[in-house]
Amino acid sequence: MDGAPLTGTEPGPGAGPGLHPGFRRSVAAFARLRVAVRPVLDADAPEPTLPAAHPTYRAITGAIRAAPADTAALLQDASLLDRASYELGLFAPLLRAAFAGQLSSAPADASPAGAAFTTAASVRLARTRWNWEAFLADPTLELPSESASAWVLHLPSAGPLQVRRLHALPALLLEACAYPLTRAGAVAAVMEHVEGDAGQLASLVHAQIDELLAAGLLQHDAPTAADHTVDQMLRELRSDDPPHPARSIVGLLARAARATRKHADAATAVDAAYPVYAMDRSVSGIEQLLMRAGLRAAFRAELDGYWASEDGSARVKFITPLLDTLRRALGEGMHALAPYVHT
Amino acid sequence: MTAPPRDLRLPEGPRDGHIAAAEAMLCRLAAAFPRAGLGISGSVGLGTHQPSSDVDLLVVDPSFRREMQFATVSEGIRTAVLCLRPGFDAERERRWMLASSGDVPMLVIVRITFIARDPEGHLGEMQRTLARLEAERLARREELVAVRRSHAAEIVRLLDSGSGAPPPQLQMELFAAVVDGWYLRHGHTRNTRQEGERMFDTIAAHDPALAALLRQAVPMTHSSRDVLLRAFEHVYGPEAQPPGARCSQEG
Repeated sequence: MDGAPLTGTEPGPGAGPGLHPGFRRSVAAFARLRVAVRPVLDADAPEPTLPAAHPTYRAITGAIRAAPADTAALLQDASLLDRASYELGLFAPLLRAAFAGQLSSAPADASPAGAAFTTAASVRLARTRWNWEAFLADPTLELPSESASAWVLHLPSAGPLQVRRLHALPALLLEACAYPLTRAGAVAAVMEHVEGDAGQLASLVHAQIDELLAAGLLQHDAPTAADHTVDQMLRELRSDDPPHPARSIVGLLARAARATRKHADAATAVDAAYPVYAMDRSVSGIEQLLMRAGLRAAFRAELDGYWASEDGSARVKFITPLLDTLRRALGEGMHALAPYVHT
Repeated sequence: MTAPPRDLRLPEGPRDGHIAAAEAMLCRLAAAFPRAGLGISGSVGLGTHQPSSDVDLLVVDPSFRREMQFATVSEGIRTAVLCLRPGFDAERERRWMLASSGDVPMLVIVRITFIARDPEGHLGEMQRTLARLEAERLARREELVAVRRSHAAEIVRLLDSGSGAPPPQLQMELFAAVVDGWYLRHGHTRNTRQEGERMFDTIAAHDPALAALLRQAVPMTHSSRDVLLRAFEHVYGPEAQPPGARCSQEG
């Protein structure tokens, strides 16, 4: 599988010696916060299958892991977009194979009133807490100001990953439509978060839905999640051709990540023998699936660190970033738990 | 909601959100797959579910070209739908027994399913076959233990030779084989996720020595290997170890 990242940004100067330009924003923010980033190069175990940006990615994640809690929160936020873009690029071949035919939905010309919509399988949302653009633009600032922003990462069926800042309304809609919603349902969901004239708000929501449909970020869907699944079952259980194996890998990875998180939450309790055993089993499952996807090497630090740790708490610390990565890359909502084939 | 078919049954007990979610999904499934056997499995089928429980449904239909698991949301509750082809025999039982790696083995999922609708009898036939095999299990117990022992011995051989899957994965498989072998040998069951979670306590109540070994093996590290080999001997006997298998240190 091609593991090359597909970022929408052009390579440029300013990332620093040995550091990949795909992370120049993160590196610049880290430097302003006085956190050094040095690329991690494994001279003894080079990974030719991994993208050129990988050593910089590992340097960034290593710096976050080593930082004290309050600094780590800033570093995570500063590097969120760069990391999410890189990670989605790593998983792009797997996701494209798994959702072939679903990644770019063709907008319909007409949209019946009762029709429902779902956020496309190709869409990921990210929210940052601090204003890094203003911080990087003003060298007199000691720390960034708190000013939340929403971003959409769109992985089309072909071409580079696109990253765009979103206004509040489209971000709310894309979050609300994680599961199928009708236009009326979408309006109601937005009104839970926004005050204003109901009629005007409804008009805005309808117009925004049309824009998101035209951009391929929303797609038409069955009225409910359950109806969507029955449609899927009718297609996939009876078709001559089995689904692409990537689909099962994605579905099993999402389930294993969910199970691991549940066991990790219980793994630090006093009598945690079963949760730790169950966490080990789930992580072993994740490791096998990443190997099948050709991605185990990309998360070697997390997995090797996990298996080398001697107690449950240390293991939770190693595996949590990987679980966060899987959640970002595999998405949440209707498309996150893809169906899988029993062998 | 699609009108429920007249022959749709639901478990006895209060009609709560989980039962409503199961019914809503079953109505859709009955409409889409009118020949299918439909069942409610897991804690909802047994009436032991918690507010955080998922709904687990089973669909058995001869038209399925493959067996799959789907995930969805019905009436706001996470719902898993396991789709199987009908038919069951000792060979399928053996494959499922060796392949099971989740909290609840596939055999148990099918066996404890509450049948909601079964117009052609496929699901009922699978359950009757499983029940017959289960009834013969006492006479067949050593046969099933032998299957598990053979699989476990192969894992030990791979661990010893350093070939095959990575050691953590092999050790996990050996742990599962030891526990499954113990449960088989002593006639205990793990019918629900909750029973699976009490595995260490159940074993400790009947076999403290094995429970101590298994607790020592967790979390799974390089040093767990020797502990697991001792656990393997404890359950299957020292003669079950492949020639050349060794513990690197005395316990």
